[in-house]
Amino acid sequence: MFLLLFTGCEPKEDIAEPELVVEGWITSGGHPLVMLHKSISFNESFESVASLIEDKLVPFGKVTIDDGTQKVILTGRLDTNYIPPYRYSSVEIIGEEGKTYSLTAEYENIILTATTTIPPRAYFDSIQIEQKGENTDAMEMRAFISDAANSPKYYVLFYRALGTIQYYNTFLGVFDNSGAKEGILSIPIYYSVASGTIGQDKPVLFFKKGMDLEFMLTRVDKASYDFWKTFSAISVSSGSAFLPIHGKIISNVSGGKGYWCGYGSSSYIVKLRNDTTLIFDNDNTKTD
Amino acid sequence: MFSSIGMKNNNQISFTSELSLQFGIDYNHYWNNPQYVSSHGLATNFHSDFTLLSSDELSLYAGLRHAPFSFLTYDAGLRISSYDHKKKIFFALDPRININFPINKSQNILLHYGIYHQYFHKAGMTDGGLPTDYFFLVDKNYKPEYAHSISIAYNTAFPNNNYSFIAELYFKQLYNVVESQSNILELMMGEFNYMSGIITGKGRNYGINLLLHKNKGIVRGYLSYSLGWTMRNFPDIAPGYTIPAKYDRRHNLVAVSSVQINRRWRIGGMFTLASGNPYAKPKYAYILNGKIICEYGPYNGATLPLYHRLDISADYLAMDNHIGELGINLSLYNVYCHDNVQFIIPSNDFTMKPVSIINTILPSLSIYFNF
Repeated sequence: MFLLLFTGCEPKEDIAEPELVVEGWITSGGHPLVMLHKSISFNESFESVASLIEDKLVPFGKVTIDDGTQKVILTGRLDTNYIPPYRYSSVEIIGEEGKTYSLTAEYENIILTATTTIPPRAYFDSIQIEQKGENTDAMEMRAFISDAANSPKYYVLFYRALGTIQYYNTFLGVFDNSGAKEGILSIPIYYSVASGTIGQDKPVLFFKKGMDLEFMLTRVDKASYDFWKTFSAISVSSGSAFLPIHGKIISNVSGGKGYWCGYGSSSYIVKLRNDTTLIFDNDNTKTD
Repeated sequence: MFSSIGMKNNNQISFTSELSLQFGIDYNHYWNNPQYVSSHGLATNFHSDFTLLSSDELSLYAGLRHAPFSFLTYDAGLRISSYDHKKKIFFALDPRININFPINKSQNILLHYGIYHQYFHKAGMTDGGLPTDYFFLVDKNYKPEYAHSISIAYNTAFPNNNYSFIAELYFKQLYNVVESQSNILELMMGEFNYMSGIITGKGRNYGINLLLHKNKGIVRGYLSYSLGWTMRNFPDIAPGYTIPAKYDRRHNLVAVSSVQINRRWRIGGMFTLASGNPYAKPKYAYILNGKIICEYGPYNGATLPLYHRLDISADYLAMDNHIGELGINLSLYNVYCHDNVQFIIPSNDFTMKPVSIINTILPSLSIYFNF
């Protein structure tokens, strides 16, 4: 009897029901790439972060892309270039500007759906690079985009170290064309101040001299813009005791978490050496 | 920055030993610079403009103290206030009444009702761990916060006034309560506007306070216990009075004692045992674009662990004569070095990390001179 009473009084930790999380995109001229994983409860026990992430992979999900003319089931494989290290893709679909792509992901009775459109490509006219001072290796960068601002346009800027695969969003690199003056949009390029980035111990605002980088400038639809805008704000504050956590990420996914975005994208290789202005001939821009 | 300067004129006329009138005028001028942002080392070295706002509050008040019967005395008053901020003027009538029912020489029951207006707001980024509270003046957008307050108290003293005991039940209904939902990201980049994230709502504070006081003897002190709810209704977050306020402390037990060992030495101690403050508990995390994103449970929906702390002190009276009193005080804060958790944060290894600001003993030495 006493044993029963004590058992009844034992506090129970709430373990949140896992959510299915999707991270996926399709670029103009590229193939769809989708990653799935389950959310991680803070009360779960685990041996290591790597084992925990591995445990949350969804290797047996069914991911379907519908481009309006065909439905293609993506195939999955391990890929350690990404976190989590498992991705679904298909060479049967190539992203086209102006086209709409619907994603359906199914796993253990959970069905995620999302739709996105690839807008026309975005291009840089030029990037100004300037060392911030003699006693620092921080490089200040500013990019210029021709934009007549006669209709709303939405952009997201990503970067990756040259030779690596996964792109990351730049800090404050989610913007619209409302700030364009005389047909030119001028935007600063910052590295990242996100405290929760895996593998990055401390926030760094500026890219550094000597870095070889690849930038991907994308035009996105409004739903994708809303996602990246709220994501970039939350990812800075999430996990920090000193920043507010009221905000919610505005996701374009129904039935789970994450995003599915179409990118009208152009890629640029930038090697940070000296003060310079890179002017781009966009016909020969390296595209991903 | 918030500061004020004021003048007060207070008058009292006693008509009889049972009837007196108190009246006066109270003027306050307020200065306020709600937000001065200064940041270094990020995108820019940024200093916001120093904008000093000011406002004036003028109050007339009168109170009547009357003891018409041996079993009833009352104290009724009215404060009429006006407030001016950039030509926007608010008026308020704040009545109050205290009715005292003496049961006998050592027991009485006290009833209170009053309305109270306040012409500045205190807001804070409720989930931030830093002390980010700030004050701002009432203006055309944010009306004065006011409260209806009602309470009933029972007082008794026994025996020979060695001990006294007070029990009080209270209820307060608050209006125009504000809280900030601003984004510190904007602040870091110099685009912060302290008004942008303000939400308004209502509040209800209610509970019971119990206080046992030992008034005489070598050992003196008190034991108090409060059971209270400070609930907020912010329709932008959730309907109803479902949100505990940032400083909600459901249970609060305080024991204070001092011992006068001899004419020169006195030792004392204070023990506090209280519920933890509310916070939004992280539920789960997921990974997007290489970053860990946390999803949180209900706003202020969880409470931090129990708070407890012991402080002790010793006083030595070095001099006590016609010139004055000179003494030394040694205090030890958090004697048993308890880790009281100030906030709990999710860390990058998917664990919850309790953070304690003062987890060590804090000594202080002071010399005082009273004359």
